Amino acid sequence: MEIGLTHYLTLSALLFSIGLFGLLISRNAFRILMSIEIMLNAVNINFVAFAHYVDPLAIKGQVFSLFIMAIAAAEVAIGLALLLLIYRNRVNIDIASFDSIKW
Amino acid sequence: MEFLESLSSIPFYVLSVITVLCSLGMILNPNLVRAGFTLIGAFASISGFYFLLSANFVAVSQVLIYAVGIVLVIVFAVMLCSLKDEASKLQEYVFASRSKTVFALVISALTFSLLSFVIQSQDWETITKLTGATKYASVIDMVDEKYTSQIGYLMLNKYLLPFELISILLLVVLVGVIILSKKNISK
Repeated sequence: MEIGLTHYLTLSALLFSIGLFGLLISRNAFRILMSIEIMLNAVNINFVAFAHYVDPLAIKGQVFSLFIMAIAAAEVAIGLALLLLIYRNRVNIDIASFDSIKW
Repeated sequence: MEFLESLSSIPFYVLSVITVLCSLGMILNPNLVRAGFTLIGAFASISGFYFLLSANFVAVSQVLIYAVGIVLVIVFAVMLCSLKDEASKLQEYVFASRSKTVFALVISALTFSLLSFVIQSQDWETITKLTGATKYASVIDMVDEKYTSQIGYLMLNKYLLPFELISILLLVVLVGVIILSKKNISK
């Protein structure tokens, strides 16, 4: 069977679910960041697959995926800076212990 | 001929297996640094998909930004927060609790089944025909080499505003990260 758009969409759905699973089970804040990266990559695969199969002349999907990469880099930088700050103050990065502003 | 066609789908399946195994390994590996390095495998094989989809520039950016840049930064941050006292209870760190794991499994399985149901229920051949992709299918190889220059053209013409906004965002992030990670902000 020839590889079509459906294959790529299903693969990206699978990757997205794996990322969601990791996001929900992990207690370590670093692993949560990594799971978010997996989910963003799943979305990027969708964009590039659509650009290839639906819109091969004006490749809007590829441009959009590049923007997503830039935003993901920004998100990781801010997230890691926040985590290091929290670690410096509390010497702990268990996500369940970040409850000081919970009411 | 049929054999050759089935042969051309091998790279896709090999890359899929590598990607899925690496992302699962990232989630389940109790050692955080090893999990970060497993992520490199996932990102590199995802860039292989971009090569298969003839998106060469996106594939190279994927390797440069994700597989090297982001993973490196995450692994360095993990090493900065080396949690020595927690090495003994690493296993507990991965799986929150049994009920929560089951809950997460159910939620992600539901998401996957919902997404794949929606994907299967669409008639993609008609959609690609309507938008004229198959009409240009023979042209794709010719366009292929021009994708990179076309991306540059689009970014500086049609998508100039988002492009400049991204540069402002990166500047703001740079300043924000420096301020956040500085000691003694109040002084």
